[in-house]
Amino acid sequence: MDRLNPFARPGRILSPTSPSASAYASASPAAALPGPAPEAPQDHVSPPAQVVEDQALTIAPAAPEAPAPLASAPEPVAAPAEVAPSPTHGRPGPDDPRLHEAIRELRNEIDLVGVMIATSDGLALAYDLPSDDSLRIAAMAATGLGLGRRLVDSFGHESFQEQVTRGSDGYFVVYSAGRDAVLAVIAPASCNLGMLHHQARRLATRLGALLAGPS
Amino acid sequence: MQTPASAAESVTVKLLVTGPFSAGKTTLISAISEIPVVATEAAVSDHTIVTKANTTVTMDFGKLTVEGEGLHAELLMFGTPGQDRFSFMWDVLAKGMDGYVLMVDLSSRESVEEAGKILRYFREMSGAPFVVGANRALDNPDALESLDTDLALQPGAVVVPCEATDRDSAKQVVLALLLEVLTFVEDEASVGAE
Repeated sequence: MDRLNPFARPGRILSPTSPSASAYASASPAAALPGPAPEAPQDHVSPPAQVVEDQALTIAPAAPEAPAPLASAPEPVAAPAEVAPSPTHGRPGPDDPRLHEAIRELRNEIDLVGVMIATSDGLALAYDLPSDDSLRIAAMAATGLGLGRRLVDSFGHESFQEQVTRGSDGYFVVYSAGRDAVLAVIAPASCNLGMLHHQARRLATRLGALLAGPS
Repeated sequence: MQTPASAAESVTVKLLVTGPFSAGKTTLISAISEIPVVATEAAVSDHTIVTKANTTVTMDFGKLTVEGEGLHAELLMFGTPGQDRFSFMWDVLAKGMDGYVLMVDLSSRESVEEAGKILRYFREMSGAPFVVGANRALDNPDALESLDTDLALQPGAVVVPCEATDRDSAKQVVLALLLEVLTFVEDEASVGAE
């Protein structure tokens, strides 16, 4: 089955940065630049739209085969797919039906407010949320994962598994889902945390394997 | 800023290093920190991977001690994530800050535009002093020239051209900010005394 790499999305290439020279030794500390400066050269103005693709990730009922998952994301203005999707290895892309199926399964087992599957750098892959705040929640899941991993690392506790944030009226739990992804769950205060862990850890392990590709 | 009563000249200053994706925030802190930088990086998964492979998702933390005439300052440097989807972390990290560095990559038009937006966000959130760290200044003199206009900087705003990979250059940026912070605190104190 031909699938696109979830970790390569279509989009605009930023102008490659020139390798900078060595030291800027002569920089004076409080060098305020004087008044109004001339207009910047406009010859390589970058196209405007930038975040659009993430916002387009909604719950597609079940995306059909192959490049379809990515087709749901609008192309940023006039940007040809400059980043060629790398060899697929059967990994699920954003909005892959298997990810939505996984979310449904979890919700069938446990009463939850919302579920987010995101990349470890905070981009949504699939989600089922009560509000339209996927961009932020995907980033928050990645922040939880990043902080959790750092803490676990600091104390020599091997690998990060999960981070539970308990408010007086609910939970936000972040589970590691392999190297490159994270599963986040928003649960009501009435949630049986033991049961949630039991189900979500299993799912996170499965997602980790799925997102790492076959073999 | 905390001034222990025992040693009046010793201060602890909380600085934020913010700015758009790939502006050189983590690089700047890593270049000058005396302690191993506490970084939280994740692999980049979208098209911006052509720019760099890893990105800060929570924060970076580093420390620099500055000894000057009658001054012993401990600079605690907090680096923010750059993408605006992480802006909630800007709020979290900005709590109690004494000033901030706005890093911008002069080689990228997009970086300058994004830096303008971030600066507006921070100025709405806080009246704390700031300096602009104009990264990759050597290779982009034109972008440096037009930076005041592009960022809509007020007259007197401090722009420090730098190469974030270079320790001395990076140091100039935070020293410039320290100067701004000390001046700001003095001004506040003199206003309060009147």
